[in-house]
Amino acid sequence: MRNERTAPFSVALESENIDLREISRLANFGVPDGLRLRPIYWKLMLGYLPTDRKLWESTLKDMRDLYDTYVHQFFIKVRKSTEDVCVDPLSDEPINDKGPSDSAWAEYQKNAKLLIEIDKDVRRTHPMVQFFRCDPEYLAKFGVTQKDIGSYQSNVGDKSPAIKFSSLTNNSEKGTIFNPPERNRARLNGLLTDFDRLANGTFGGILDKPQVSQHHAALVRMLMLFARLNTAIQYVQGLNELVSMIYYVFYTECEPEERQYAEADAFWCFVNLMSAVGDIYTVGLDGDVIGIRGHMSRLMKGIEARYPACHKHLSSLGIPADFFAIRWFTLLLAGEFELPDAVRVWDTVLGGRVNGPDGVMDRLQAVCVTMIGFVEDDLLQCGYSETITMLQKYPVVDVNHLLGFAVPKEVTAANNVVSNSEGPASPGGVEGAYRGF
Amino acid sequence: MAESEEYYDYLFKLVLIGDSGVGKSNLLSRFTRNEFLYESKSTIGVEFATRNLKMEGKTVKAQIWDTAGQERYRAITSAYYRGAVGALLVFDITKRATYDNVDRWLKELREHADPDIAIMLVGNKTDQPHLRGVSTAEAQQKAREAKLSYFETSALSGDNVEASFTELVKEIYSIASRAQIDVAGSSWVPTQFRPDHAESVPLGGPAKPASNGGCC
Repeated sequence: MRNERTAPFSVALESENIDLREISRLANFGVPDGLRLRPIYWKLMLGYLPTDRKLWESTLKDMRDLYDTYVHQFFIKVRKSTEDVCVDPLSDEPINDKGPSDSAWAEYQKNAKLLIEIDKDVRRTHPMVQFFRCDPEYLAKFGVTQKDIGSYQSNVGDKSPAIKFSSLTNNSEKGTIFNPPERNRARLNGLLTDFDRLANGTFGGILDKPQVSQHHAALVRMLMLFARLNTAIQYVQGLNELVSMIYYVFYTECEPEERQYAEADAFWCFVNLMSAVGDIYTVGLDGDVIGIRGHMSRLMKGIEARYPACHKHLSSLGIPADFFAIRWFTLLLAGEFELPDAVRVWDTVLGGRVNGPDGVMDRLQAVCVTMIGFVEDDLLQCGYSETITMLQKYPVVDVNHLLGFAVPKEVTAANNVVSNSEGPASPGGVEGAYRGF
Repeated sequence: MAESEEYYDYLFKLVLIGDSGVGKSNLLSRFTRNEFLYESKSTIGVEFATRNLKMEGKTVKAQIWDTAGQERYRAITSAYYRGAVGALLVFDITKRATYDNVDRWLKELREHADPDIAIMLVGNKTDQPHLRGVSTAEAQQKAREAKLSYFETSALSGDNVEASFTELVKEIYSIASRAQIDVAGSSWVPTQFRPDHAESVPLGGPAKPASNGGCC
C-alpha cells in the first residue's frame, strides 16, 4: 500500500525537471510520511525551489546566505539604533543632550513594541505540541535553571504543560536580567553584546524573559524580519501559526544535518506563501473581493450553491461566515485540526498553487465549503449555539476522506496509480462541477 | 449538560473585549468550563461559549462572545457587538498599556454597540500582585467616572471570576425585569434584550429555544 503510494511520488521528485502538476495531483492523496518528501514538495509548491533540479543547490545556498545577511543586518541595525540611545535610568526617558536623535529612540521603541507583541504570540504557539515546548538545555544558556522554570501548576482544570517563570519574576537578583523592558532600558548598553543571532534569548534584554526554546527564538526572528520587510502587513496575529507550520515541517521532516537551514527555508517559503494569501491580512483590502470579507461572502455563496440546506440553516439562524470562518481563512485551516491533520490539509491546499496565483485561495475555499457539507447531517440538527460551537470547534474527522471530496474531480479521475478502494467513490470535486455527497 | 442548557427564561448576549493577552479567553474558559491554560492560543476572530445562571428562580442563559484583541481584527469583528446587552472590558493589571487603552475600547463600544449596553471594567491577573502596574484605586476612579462597575479578577486562581460575570448578569437582569414590569401585560420587549437570531426569547415567561435537540 505504502509503496504504491510513495513510489510515484518519489519518482516524480527525482525527475530532472519536475512536473508540478503531477506532484500536486499525487499530493492530493497526502504526501507520504516518513520519507522526508514533504519539505521538498512544499518548497516546490511555494515556488522556493525551481522545477529544474540542477538549480536546487545554488538556489538554496543563495537564499540561505541571503537570510543570514538579512538577519544580521536587521539585528545589527536594531542594535545600532539602541546604541544611539541614552536613557535616564530614573525617568526611563531618553536624554537628549547626549546626542541620541529622536529617530533612533523612535526606531528602538518601534522595534521593542513589535518584538514584545510577536513574542507574546510565539509563546502561545502550539503550546500543546512537544516540539514547541520549553527546552531546559536552551534556557540554561541564559542562566535559567530547572528550579527557575518551576513545576507545572496543579490548579483545578489546569491542562497546560507550558512553563511558568514564577521564580524569575519574583527574584530581584535575577530580575536584573529579566525585568520588564520599561525598567531595563538603562541596562541595554551592557546587554547589547547579547543582541545577535547566537545569544538572543531575550533579544538584547528587550524581552522580560528568554524564549523557551531555539524554535521559539527562530519563530520570533522570522516574524520580526517579515514585519520589517513587509510594511503593509507587518505583524498580524495568526502569522505565527502559519510560519510555525512551515518551520515545524521543515525541521522535523529533514535530514538532521539539514535542520540548521529549516529557519532560512521556512522564512522564504513563508514570504512566498504570503504573496499568495497576504491579501486577507491586509486591513485596506477587507472590503475587497480579495480581502477577508470577500472570501467570507464567497464562502457563503459556495455553501449556497453546493449545500443549499446548510446555507438555509445558517441564514435562518442568522449565522454569517464571520462567526466561524475568520479563523478558517486567517490560519489556512491550521487552527481547525490537530497538527498532523493540519499538515495533511496543507498538502492539498498548497497544491492549488499549480492552478495559478489564486490557486491556493481557491483550494482553501473548496476545502472550507466541503467542511460544511461534510457535517451537514449533524449541522442541520443543531440550534444556534450548537451550530456556532460546532463550526468554531470543528469535530474530529477523517481528513483524507474530507479532502477526497474537496479536490477537483479531474484530479482523482486522472489518477492511474492509487487504488481507489480507500477514497470516496464519487467525490464530485468542489473545484470542478460539484455534485454533493 | 444538554438538558440544563436548553431551557432558559432569559438570554443575554455578552461580549469580552480588551487588548490582546489580557486574559479574555481564560476568563471565559474559567467561567464556563472551570479551565485555565497558561499559554492559550491567541484568539482569531471570535469564540463563543454559554453558561446558564439562576436569578430569582429564573434561568438566564449567558451567551458570551470572546473577541480577538489585536487591532487588525477590530475592523472585522465589530459585528459581534450587535445585540449585546453586556460587555466585560478587560485589562491586565500588570500591563499599564492595556489599561491606557480602556478609553479606546469604550469608544469602540460607543460606535458599535447598543447605547444601553451594561459595561463592566475588569482588571485581570491579580495573582501577580508583585507586578501590578495599575492600582485598584486608580481603576475604580476611572470606572466611576465612566459609570462602569469595576472588578478585579484572576482567571488563573479563579478569584472573583464567578462574581464578576454574575454581577454583570445581575445588573442586566434587574434592568430587564424592570423593563418588563414597566410594560406589564404587554408583549413589548426592549430591543436590546432581543438578540437578533432564532434563539431570542421574549421576556415574560418561560420559553424553550427554537432548537430541538443538540448535536454535541
